[in-house]
Amino acid sequence: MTVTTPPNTYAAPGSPEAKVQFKPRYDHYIGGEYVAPASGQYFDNPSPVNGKVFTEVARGNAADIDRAVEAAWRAFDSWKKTTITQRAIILNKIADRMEENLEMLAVAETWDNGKPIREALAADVPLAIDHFRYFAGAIRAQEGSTGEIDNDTVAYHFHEPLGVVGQIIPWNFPLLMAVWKLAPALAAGNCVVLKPAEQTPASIHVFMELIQDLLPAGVLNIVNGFGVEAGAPLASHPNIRKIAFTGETTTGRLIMQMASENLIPVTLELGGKSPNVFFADVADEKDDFYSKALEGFTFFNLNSGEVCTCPSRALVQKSIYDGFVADGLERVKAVKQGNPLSMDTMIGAQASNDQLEKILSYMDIGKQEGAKLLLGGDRADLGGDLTEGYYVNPTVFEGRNSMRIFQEEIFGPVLSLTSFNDYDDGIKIANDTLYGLGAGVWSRNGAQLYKAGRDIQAGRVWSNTYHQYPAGAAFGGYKQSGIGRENHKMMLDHYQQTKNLLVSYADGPMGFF
Amino acid sequence: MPDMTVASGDTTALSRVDVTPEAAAFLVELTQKHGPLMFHQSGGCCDGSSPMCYPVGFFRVGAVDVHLGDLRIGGSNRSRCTCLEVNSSIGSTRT
Repeated sequence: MTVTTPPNTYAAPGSPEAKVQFKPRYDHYIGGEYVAPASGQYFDNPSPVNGKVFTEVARGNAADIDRAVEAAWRAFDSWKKTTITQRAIILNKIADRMEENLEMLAVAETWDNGKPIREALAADVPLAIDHFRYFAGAIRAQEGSTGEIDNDTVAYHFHEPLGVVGQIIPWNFPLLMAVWKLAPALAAGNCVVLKPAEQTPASIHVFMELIQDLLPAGVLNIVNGFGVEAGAPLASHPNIRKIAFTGETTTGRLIMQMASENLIPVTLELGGKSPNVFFADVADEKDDFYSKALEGFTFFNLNSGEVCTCPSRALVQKSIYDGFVADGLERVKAVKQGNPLSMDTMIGAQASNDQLEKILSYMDIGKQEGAKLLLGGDRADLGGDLTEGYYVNPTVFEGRNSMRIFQEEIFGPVLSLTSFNDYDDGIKIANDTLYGLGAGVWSRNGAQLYKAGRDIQAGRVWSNTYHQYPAGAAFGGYKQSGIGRENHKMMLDHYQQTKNLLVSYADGPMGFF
Repeated sequence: MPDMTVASGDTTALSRVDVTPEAAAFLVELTQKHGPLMFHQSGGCCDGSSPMCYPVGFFRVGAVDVHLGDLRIGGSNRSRCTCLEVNSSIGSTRT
């Protein structure tokens, strides 16, 4: 085996040395083959890296969704009969294939989404690979149960797949968010109709082409398109048995409304405005732990801030505020912005022009509502070929938690910073939000760390760490941040029915009649 | 450029609804295709913090939603747009 050193800058797709070449057009993937959209229409897909169109993608509608759901049900007849051993082997093979092509998938993800290649190489793709392996293991170890109701009566509980499920994927981690939903669904024996985000429709097809020989035809189907045209027909389809969605709150409600018509379960992951709470003892010493906390402060730049759990509100205890914030700002200034395909780049492009404009408008809102701009606050022009790309400078505002930039999710590298007096004040501000997805707590005092983690109303409280996403830790929201969980073996429950066989071994009648 | 009328839901309050000439022209196009439209101010991740646009009735409005106002573009009832958002106190611990 030869160990290769990654190049400093990966070649852009389209150039001869690139690790991935996109096709000029992607159709839907239905029933094990690529098929043209019913409408005959395609939409352009630009790369956020340079703002230029690099492929066109099928524009799906209800007819395409119907076709995919039918293909999935045809596949389900045999897929549900595969043993868990067979399914686990397939999931592990998918993981192995991805690992062998890690750079290819990472470059595809960066080109489609704009994220820095070092994040795609170190986080997105390795986490996706591990997710398949985790659920390959989890399904092997899962068991039903037997209950002895009385001497002659036994309750057996079996796990069964739901059938055909719909999954609607966001654009911030196009591959990883797809795999978060796919791995447990496939492990549990379901067939899937998946709709990628229209902003990032391409990398999932690089993945699909890479692994298509490993999955039976129809087990995984991909229909591209827009929310109202393709997402709504999928979510409201009478022949799906579950719908999973990651995105914004209005569409989350709409998906629940549609699911209510068919009485099917939903899981929703709808974002947040995550507090990152720094208690005074963090600054007791200027040691490695202090440096780690400053990294935690700077983590709002990960994935250009386009993360549902972006630590977009920093709450710093008043007694250390000036010094800690000064050191934190120095750390933010060291975030290197540049070509997302360069290994030196720490922050890349925003995923779309819409997103860029929304972030810029929130910068304007922050200034207008009287927040103090400490850093950034504008678009970045990286010049040359990147001048049309969607770049913004890491931005820090100081203000009050009641301001819009503290309450509304911006989904960009924009930090809203404020102080708190004591423990109760810190927790009160942390919880003063519509959302409850992620949170961070930093303290050298284990008891304080534990207590704060329990008092913050969020599904995931990173304690003395942030932005880690291991497959074995449950992830999901309190309050307006959603319903259900992703990751962890408990996720299998969201993709399974419980079959109870209640069996009588008694010799005679019960005696009623 | 089409005529635009903004009818606020509450005439005593500052209007939260406005439209640029470019957006108005596009809305006329959309309403010709889909009929009257509604906007619902979303929150949360990805496309959150942006108004979602649907044909009227596509999204079920609930008790938590606040009517911000209506747009009548070109004076036609067909090109009516209803604008809503969620009551900002929902789920918040703020008092």
